[in-house]
Amino acid sequence: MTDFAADTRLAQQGDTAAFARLYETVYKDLYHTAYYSLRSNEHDAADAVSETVMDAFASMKNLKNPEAFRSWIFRILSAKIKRRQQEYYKEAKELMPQDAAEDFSYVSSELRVVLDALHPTDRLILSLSVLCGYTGEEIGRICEMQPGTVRSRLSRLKAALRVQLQCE
Amino acid sequence: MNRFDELKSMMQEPNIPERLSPESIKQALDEQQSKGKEKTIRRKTRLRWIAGIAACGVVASTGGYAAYRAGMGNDENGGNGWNLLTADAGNYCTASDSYDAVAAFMAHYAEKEAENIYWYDGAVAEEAVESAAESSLAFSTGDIDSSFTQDVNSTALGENPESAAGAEYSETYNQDQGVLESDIVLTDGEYLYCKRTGTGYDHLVEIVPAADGAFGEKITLDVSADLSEIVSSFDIHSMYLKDGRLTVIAEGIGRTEGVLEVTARTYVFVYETGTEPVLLGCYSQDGYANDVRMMEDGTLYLITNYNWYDRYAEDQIEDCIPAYGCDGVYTTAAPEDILLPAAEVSEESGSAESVSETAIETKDEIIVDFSDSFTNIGSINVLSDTPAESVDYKSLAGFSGEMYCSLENIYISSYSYWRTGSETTEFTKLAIDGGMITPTAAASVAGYVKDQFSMSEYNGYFRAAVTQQVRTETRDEYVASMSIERSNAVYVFDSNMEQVGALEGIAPTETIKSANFQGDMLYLVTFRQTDPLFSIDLSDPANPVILDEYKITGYSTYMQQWDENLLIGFGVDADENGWESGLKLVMFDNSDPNNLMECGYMPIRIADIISDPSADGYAYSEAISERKALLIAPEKNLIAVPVDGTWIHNITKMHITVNCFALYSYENGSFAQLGVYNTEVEHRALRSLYIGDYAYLVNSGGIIAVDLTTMQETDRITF
Repeated sequence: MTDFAADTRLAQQGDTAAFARLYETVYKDLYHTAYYSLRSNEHDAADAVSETVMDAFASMKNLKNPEAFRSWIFRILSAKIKRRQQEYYKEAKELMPQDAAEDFSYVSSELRVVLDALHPTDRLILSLSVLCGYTGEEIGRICEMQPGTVRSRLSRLKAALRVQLQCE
Repeated sequence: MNRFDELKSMMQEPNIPERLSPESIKQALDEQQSKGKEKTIRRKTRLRWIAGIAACGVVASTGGYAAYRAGMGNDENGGNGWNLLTADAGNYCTASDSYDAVAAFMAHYAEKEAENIYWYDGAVAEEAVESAAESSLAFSTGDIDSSFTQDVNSTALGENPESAAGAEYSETYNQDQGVLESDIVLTDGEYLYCKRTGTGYDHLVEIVPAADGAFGEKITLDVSADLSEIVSSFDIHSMYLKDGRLTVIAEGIGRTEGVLEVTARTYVFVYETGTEPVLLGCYSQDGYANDVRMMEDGTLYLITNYNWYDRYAEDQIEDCIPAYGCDGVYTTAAPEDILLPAAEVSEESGSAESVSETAIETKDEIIVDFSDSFTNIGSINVLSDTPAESVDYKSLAGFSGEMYCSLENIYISSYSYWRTGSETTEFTKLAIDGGMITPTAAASVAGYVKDQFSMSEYNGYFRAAVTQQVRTETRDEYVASMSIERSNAVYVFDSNMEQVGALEGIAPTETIKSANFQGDMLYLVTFRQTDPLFSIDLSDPANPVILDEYKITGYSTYMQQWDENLLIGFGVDADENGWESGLKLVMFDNSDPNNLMECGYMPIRIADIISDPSADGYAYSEAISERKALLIAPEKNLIAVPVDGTWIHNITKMHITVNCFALYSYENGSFAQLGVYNTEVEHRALRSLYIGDYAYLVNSGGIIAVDLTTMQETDRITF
């Protein structure tokens, strides 16, 4: 069990081991969120996470409440993702995920297609919701959006995903 | 395995690169520390290809709407359980005669909703308990002084003898004159009122006296301390300053541990400003804050989105009825104030482009119409003796998106996404008069509106500019792909919301980036590769015509009239191939709408921002998505842009981030950069305003004061 309070204090004083322990509790979700928000581009996703880590470590002293580490670091990641998404062509387009052929299964292939057609912002919201279990309000805080907007996007997503799944 | 688990496990599939393992990260941090670098940011910059692939096969979609509409007549789902609501069929806004009608409405949609989300619910439930605990903790343990913290002996508010009283100051720009819009940073010429941003600070307003470019002692107003209810999160939405009263609109979210149900309420706190703000009252209304408008007489209209499904239980309808109240005393919305869609579609209106046909029968074809929500509209008068007392209240079935407000009407847009891949937007018109709210009519069009500036009312006509897109899915056994057909249109409706004019097929394949209605004229920017600025004449409501089209590179995300002949645009810069390169300011001469001209262009480049011609970087701005972040003040010949960019240091090759305000002026056909003012590291540039001859640049960490004569920084305060 990670002692957030103690590790946060240590990390704030520059203890990299303590920071790594905190990081360990979130890194998978960080990466997967980045991965799906950035069109399954593993290099960009990894870059976004490592930038997040660098920024987070450098600004640990700004983290007042150890319990909030998780949403705090996701907030940083969200900024990184949004910055990258701006660099991408914004239009939904035909895109085969790079590894679709390797682990083919009918249903997940369908899901991938749906995911790949999503708006960049929707990808981020969906990732935060599915992977991290954040509610609309929390996602709103992380992404700096109005919670109402997040909720509406989420309900659109859940409907879109289900309906398109049914199409088979 | 249900679909949600499938989705989740699929999303967790990708292997995590070795360089992100906690061990590697620790090693990387250790290395970085040993090199003694404070901050290392590795970032790839690249040119952005924004015109893209989709050049192939895109067709204007204007025929699509009618086509799918025509296909809906056979739908059998409508009617069931709807006989209760047989009021005037032509009227979308049917007042319920009893809570039974509301119950029938809810039962109908609750059933639909339950089908829709069965796979999704478990997801949220898993961590609900944990996040509930986390969230309330985050709120209560924040190390922020509660209530007022006022330094003893500080200059009392309103009694600063040296103040710049009388000096002109900037105000939030309003789309329509006399219809006031709220913001997160305001000034009354003596004090700056700044909403704090960032997790753990969203309930605070910093009140900072500013005179002649110097700051006095600040006061921190903790708005949440004035709340009598317990909430787990509390965020200030925006504020108004009007005739000595500070109005703060805030959202509070309550959560019960271990239960999914959340209650969201929007609060309006009215304070008397003075030596210290005194709370006069607190109005509250169920739902998340969507938007708000105020009239010069102090009448405030608050629009919230309220989800009833979260708390839905068939036998406890009363729990789902929205409430509003004053100082903690709540009134449940009366049945006659709850407006439901008409139950029946009359034969005659079946083919008309009016909203009646989007009533229940066709509603079931909508994938998303947010029918688990109500749009709540309440009014108060913040300048009255009882500023928190409700004046009028209505609940409208359905979710609301962008809204537009004229002096006489509120238009609420509501977006739906259809099974056929099309999108529609429904506009509901509510007459407003001294706080009274009367739904009058509605209309529906294919497409979506970008923001409030895509809607306008003039001479009794309502006009809306929309981007229309139809998604078509093609799939074979293994691969499905999505193609989007896109076009733009302008529609004109009369006072009964009957469509009287349309201009369709504007700029096929492109999307609307900004719109600016001025009386009979509409200036419209669309974009895919280049930025055509259209001037559209609406003087004949039945026949809108394009007068001219002027193409330049990049696109404006916001436009505002600079003087009687000039229209300023702010947005994204790009080269002739559509490669995005950063930000730009552009000035158009629209003195002759038949002959638009460019007369001034200023790329906002990192090289200029950091005064290093060799710097290669990318500039972005908060103002791209939030026009209130721009200060456009022709009377001061001042334009302020928040810039947030990254660049590569030419020696170390490190990527560096910069957050700053860039100030510009415009004269004789060209822009000039007046100065660049950096925020403290990590702090976002938020708003710029001016009082007299000083600019105040508000960022998430403090305020920078700048003398507009010398362009020198004169003071800086940290929150």
